[in-house]
Amino acid sequence: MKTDSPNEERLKRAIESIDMPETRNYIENNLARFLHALRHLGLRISSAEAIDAVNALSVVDILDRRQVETAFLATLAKSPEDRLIVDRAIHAFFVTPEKKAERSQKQKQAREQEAEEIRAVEEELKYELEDPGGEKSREISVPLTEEEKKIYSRLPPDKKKKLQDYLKKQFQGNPVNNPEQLITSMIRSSLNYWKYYLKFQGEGPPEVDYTGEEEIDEILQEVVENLREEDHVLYQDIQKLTEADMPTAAVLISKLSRKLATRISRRYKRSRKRERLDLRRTIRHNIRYGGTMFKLKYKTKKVQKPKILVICDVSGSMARYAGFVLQFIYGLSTVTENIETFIFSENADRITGEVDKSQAFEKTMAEIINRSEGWGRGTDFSKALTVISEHHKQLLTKDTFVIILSDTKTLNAERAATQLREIKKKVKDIIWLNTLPKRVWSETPTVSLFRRHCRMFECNTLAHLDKIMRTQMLK
Amino acid sequence: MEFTIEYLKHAFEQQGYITDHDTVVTAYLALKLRKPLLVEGPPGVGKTEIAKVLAAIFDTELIRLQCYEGLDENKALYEWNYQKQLIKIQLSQVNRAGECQTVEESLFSEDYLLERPLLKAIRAEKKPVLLIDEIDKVDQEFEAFLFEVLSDFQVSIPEWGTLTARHIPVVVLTSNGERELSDGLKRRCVYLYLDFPTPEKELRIITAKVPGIGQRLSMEVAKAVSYIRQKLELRKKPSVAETLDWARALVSLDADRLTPDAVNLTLNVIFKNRDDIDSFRQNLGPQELVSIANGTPETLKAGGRG
Repeated sequence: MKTDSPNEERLKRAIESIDMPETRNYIENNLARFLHALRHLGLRISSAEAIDAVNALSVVDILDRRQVETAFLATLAKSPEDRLIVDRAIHAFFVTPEKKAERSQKQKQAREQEAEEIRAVEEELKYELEDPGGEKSREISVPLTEEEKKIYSRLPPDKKKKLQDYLKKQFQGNPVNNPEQLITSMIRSSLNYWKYYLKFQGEGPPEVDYTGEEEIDEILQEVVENLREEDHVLYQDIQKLTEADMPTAAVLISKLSRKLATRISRRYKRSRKRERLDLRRTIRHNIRYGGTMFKLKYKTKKVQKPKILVICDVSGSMARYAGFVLQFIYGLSTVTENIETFIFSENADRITGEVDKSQAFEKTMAEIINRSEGWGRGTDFSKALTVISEHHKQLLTKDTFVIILSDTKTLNAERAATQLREIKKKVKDIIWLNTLPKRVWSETPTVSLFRRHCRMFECNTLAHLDKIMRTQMLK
Repeated sequence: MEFTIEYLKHAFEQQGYITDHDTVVTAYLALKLRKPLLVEGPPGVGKTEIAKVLAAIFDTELIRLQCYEGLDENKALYEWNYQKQLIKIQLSQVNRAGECQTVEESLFSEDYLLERPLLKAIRAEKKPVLLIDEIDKVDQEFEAFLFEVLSDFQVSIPEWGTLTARHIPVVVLTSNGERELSDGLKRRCVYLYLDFPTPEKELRIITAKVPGIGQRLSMEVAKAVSYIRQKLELRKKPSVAETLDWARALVSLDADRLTPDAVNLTLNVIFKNRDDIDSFRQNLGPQELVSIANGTPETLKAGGRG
């Protein structure tokens, strides 16, 4: 049917207007959806920026893909990190319908395959348990979480075989009490080892807030997967960084810590009063002009650099993070003065002066590890605080920022929390960088215990650190 | 001639500023949308140069506000010439008594006003280019003041009233990313991230800026510098200016290609501190660098966007 005549055109529009507006494939709808997707990828895009983007599109050649991309990048991304996300989002969002269908198909297949694999896991990880009473044996599946099943499905075939063999051989003719639990914990610990070995990617940053709308979520997933595949050091859990990532991470850390140090020092300076007129010196100086206040003299204040006290957990659960932490401190100490550093696990160890030597970081760290007795042991935060408040009282002043890096898992947590409260009264601020993922905070009682006395942030990737600095630190 | 992306690209090239598509389109957008252009990137990639080139293209004045820690309104906007005012008062007392009114009025006239860059840009007769350099160095209060000025382009001087800009200036802000800028300021700007150039772009820059350099030497220099930036972990990566200095140094040594000796003699031109020189000698060395620069181009992949 031809729709040329004005009446039919009007009718068509009227019919269209009954449709759900968001289903119409207009450019403004598409743009709004694109901005929606970007916001769900963690970008802060205001209405003003959205308007800029639309205006920008109106002055470039909209049929030239590169110009359109540049227009989006120039108006929507306001930092190198944002540019990366916007760029990947453009490539995922503005695709031909064929590609969209292909992606949809692919992701659907992937989901089905995953479900299939998980079913297979349940099948493979079965073992026969002889009924102690009778001759019959029953088949039991190892109760594993979804994540553990996914890890198993990604193991190389020979390793899978090994685990299956283990299940078959173990306990045959060797009855033990409650074998299910024992077997589960054995399998779990083995999978846990493989999790780190395979650098298994769980739910991690870049943070995505899925919308629940299939089409947008598929785009979000593609962007996130691409970013992860590109292996951006910024978004990796520090614990999962490999040796090869270290140089890149080191450069990033030094950049981030330098930013932090400048911010702290600036803030400190800003909080001082403005220059004040020095009346005595002004009068004395202006006697030569017959008492006319010709030249004004000001009192100047010495700019003081901030005092920072870093307390860093290097116990077993934190040992993997320790390298990063010390590198971070190392970056700070090259740009500010007065940084006091303590590492603790069972005992506190003052390492101030160790990290600002002008030698390579790796070497410094090796020396500290060799010397320190606390490296990789259990954790007692309260002992560390005792050492600091008893033997290094002079460090706790109203000008001191205390930065703590720990996962809050410690012995004597109650006592430590009380001590922390006391310290809070003496210092300027306490900032706690918590390496535990935020989603488990509510299940970890020590988190809420310490959280009352400090400002606590999730910090297990460099992106987190960067975000804390930009948005939270020194708010 | 109509102001188009092509025109701007051509104009950039005529001014000797070798650029890429993204930069031209972003600058074009800033000009068309009449928004400040915020340029971020590592030192020495040509951020400040963009403002200079724009001033040359529009044949207008470049007004520069160099930012530093502690910069305040007095130094950025205007100040009364206090000493001159005092002299005026003294002189009027000597000459005659009375007529206070006239003295007071003249004390706040144009003669006693010290115009600073922002006021100058607002009062300019012809649309100027206002360069606010290294904005990341100022304090946050000043940043807030600045974006107030940038959004309205009017200031108030209590003795005179409100002054509104005759023309909205072309504003270019640069930042080395030492400090995160406020969201408010970013929101008002069009954003451009300038990274180190790709080897191909750098080759064009060298050819344009270093007279008398041979094709082979310029290609090898571009490859070598790009390799150094990508592969070595340095405290300070060589900037475009350093590449050009290095190329000039090599030309003045009559080199027509890179040799280990020539590299050894000119190391101080590319690396600006001892740690970097040591790192270069330990991890790469002149011999290796020369063989890479002579080698196949696939060792060098141009950096993408982002």
